[in-house]
Amino acid sequence: MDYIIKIWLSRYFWSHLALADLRSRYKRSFLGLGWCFVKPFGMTLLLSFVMGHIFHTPIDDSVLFIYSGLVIWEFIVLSVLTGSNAFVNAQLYIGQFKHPLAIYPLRSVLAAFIDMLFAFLGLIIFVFVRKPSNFGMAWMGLLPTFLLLFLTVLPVVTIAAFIGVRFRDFSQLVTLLMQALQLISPVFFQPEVFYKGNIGFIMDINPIYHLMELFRAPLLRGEWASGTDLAFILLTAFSLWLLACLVIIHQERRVIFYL
Amino acid sequence: MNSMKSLIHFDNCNLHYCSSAYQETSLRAYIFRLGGWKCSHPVRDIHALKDINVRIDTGEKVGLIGHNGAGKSTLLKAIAGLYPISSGNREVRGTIRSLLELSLGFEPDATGFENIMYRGLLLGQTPKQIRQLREEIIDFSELGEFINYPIRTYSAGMLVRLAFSISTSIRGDILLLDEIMSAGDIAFQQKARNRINALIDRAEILVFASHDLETMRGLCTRGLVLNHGTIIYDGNVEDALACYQDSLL
Repeated sequence: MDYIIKIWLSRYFWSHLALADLRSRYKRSFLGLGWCFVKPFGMTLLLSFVMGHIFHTPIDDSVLFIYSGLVIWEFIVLSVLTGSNAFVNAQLYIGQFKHPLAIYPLRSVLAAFIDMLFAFLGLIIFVFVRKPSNFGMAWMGLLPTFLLLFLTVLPVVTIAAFIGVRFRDFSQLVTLLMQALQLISPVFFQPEVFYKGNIGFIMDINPIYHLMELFRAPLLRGEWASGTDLAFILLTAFSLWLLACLVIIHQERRVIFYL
Repeated sequence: MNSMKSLIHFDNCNLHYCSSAYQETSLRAYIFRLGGWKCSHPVRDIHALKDINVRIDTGEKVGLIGHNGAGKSTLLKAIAGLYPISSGNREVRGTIRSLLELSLGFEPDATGFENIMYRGLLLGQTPKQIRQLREEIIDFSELGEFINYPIRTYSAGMLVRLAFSISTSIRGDILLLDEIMSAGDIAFQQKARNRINALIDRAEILVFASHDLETMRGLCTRGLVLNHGTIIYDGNVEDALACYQDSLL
């Protein structure tokens, strides 16, 4: 409890760092934050063109699906990649002042999250243009879903940060892991592709599938997200937090020696 | 009201640097170990502080004396809570202000102006408090228009001046000093000294590690002599200095 209060007390520090990360990411760039939107948009066009020809699906159908997948996926990848170096990059701060270490992965996730919110704005405009009928009551679920997404990714990144400071190879390995994970997640392949290929069980146990469904149900189909998806993510987030707390309790004091 | 007072209390404290952090973890090192080639210099846990028993109360100005590697900086960092103790009890009451490694902890791409904010926040201030201090910090650092340039364009001296100005503009109950640093040119050093003295006057506890025995005599009333991680003398600063000088002979 004391730990959480300390995180709250240092909120100005980590929130400023997250904003500084954003600023330095887009410093002297012409489009600036516009890249949050342009990057997934360009990728979506490319992918829907290629996949439309491979799977003979109308491009129109897949555009929204791919864009929504990419935006969420990019958030997860960016958080994990920057987060696995969170302590290493903050070593000068860690050596100067004793803040709870959990604020450094929090900084990574927050910066990536703000990025994603901008990209999401693009998605919402997209939906209004292509499928305006999807807008409805079910969208009220989006706000808590964003929070849930944040709270699911944060413990993963926290654990990654602790592993990353102990084993420096981890940041290389994590790139590979994320690519593998992308292949078995419905980022741009429709879930049906997996079910048809008799590997549907991968969808059932993949939290990323369920996370994306929480967003895709209201945005792409105008429905409320299913209870199964919600329950799965709540359970996943809870277990991840348990693990993250264990890691913090056991490893926090040793981190300074590994820097 | 006793609980309001600042206090540093170490009861039988030990501190180890864990060796696994310094061991080679590369594949090459691993294969060598598997192959049975013994490393000629095995890395062991370093016992950096041994059975430290010390209590420092409000109003005390304490100097840490000892050779290089005796444990002075380690003790300061343990007081600051940066290094975890491996056994014993550590109790510290009061807000800590440490001037240990000054020029570290800047965002190189941000301007001096922005870095005042980051660093102030790092030191636990709120944005509002920093905005109030900012003018005074810029003034003191003598950076002039350079304050609007990114930190990476600064010279080493400019960096130290800025870091010093920020860190010393925020007061704390417990002041931890590791050498009074040579910040900037002679004129600035004089200014820096005055400022540190003012900071010391306002602090409830001072712990000061230095090789500059004259300064220590002037600032401190109590001295701790450290040798290989143990306190070998604790008492009046004059006697502590004498004890240290004896050990040099």
